[in-house]
Amino acid sequence: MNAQLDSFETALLTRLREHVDQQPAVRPRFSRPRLLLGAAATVAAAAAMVVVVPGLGSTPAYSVQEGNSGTITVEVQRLEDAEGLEAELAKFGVKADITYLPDRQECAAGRYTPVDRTLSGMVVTMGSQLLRVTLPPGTVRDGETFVMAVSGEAIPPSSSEPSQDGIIDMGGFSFWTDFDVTAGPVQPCRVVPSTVG
Amino acid sequence: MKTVEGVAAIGRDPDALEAFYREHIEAVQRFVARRVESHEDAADLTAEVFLAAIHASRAYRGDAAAPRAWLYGIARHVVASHHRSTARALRAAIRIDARELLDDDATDRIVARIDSQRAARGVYRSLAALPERQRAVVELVAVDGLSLTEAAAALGLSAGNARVHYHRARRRLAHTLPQPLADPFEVTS
Repeated sequence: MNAQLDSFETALLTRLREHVDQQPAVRPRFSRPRLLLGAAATVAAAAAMVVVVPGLGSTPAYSVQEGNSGTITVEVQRLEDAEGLEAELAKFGVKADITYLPDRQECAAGRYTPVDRTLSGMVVTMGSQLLRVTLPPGTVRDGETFVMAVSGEAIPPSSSEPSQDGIIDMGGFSFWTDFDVTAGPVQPCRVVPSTVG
Repeated sequence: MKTVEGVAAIGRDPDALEAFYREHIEAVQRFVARRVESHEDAADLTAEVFLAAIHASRAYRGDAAAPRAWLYGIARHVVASHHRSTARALRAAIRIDARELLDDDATDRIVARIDSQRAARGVYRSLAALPERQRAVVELVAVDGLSLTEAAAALGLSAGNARVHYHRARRRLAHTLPQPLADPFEVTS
């Protein structure tokens, strides 16, 4: 137990407590597969008993909503129909270049030049809705393009039987994502193998 | 705090989170210092590790891994995502701007911690060419000092499987590491 925290550790604890306080109450449901991803942009199987969502049936692949404040929220349930999402975002005045890649692939770097300003409030999170993008008003200005490339790989369980340690590998989902805003052209994605596991 | 209930509650109970945080903050900061050189990145990643743990905690099962091994498994993925994301994308995704919480004294402490972990970072970097599972096992054993059994639990592998990965990695790295990987510390139960 580290009882003596320094100024940074104390301030971080305060922020984390606030974060937990703001979490909606969720009743755990273990009877049905669901996606449970942590805060990181990349989360894979073993770390947190992440569960593979084998497709969510008839739910739409994506949704786009605009809040009262003008914040646009995109929720992607499945990495399908990138062009449809681009068209939907266009209805909200956001020009977008969305790329979904299978498995362990990435777009080679350098296919666009990010805008030279801080994009505060633009957030991409992995959560129970698979992927959520929050674009505050003014994030993507006229003539600019929101660029996002995502690859996701389902990691199958290595075994359905508990190991000798009583561990059941439940599989999971690993993500790679790159997103930003550019005022210039966006080159096509040159697919390269993922460099990190 | 060693109970399953305690860890599973950190996502909904701030007091449970605080107990968990106080118990593991030093270990997490050392874990991060074995992997990054920037004190600002170290601060952000420390926050991200705890955020990831908070979100993963509902699925925590005490029979899978002890809290520290479980947390290290999460921390591995957080740091890996840091290395694979563009810096800009990572900054945009951060929900607690931890580097903004640093003052001079806290910065000095993190810099000192990073300086003390130079050798471990060398080993960490040398593992980049390994296949993912081998790398994961060796990281937690050779860089972080977990036993093979603990590493296996953190990664959702059987101890036997982890042992195979470790020894394959040791053969593969025999000519690239300045010092060969040590025999892993094993705990049997």
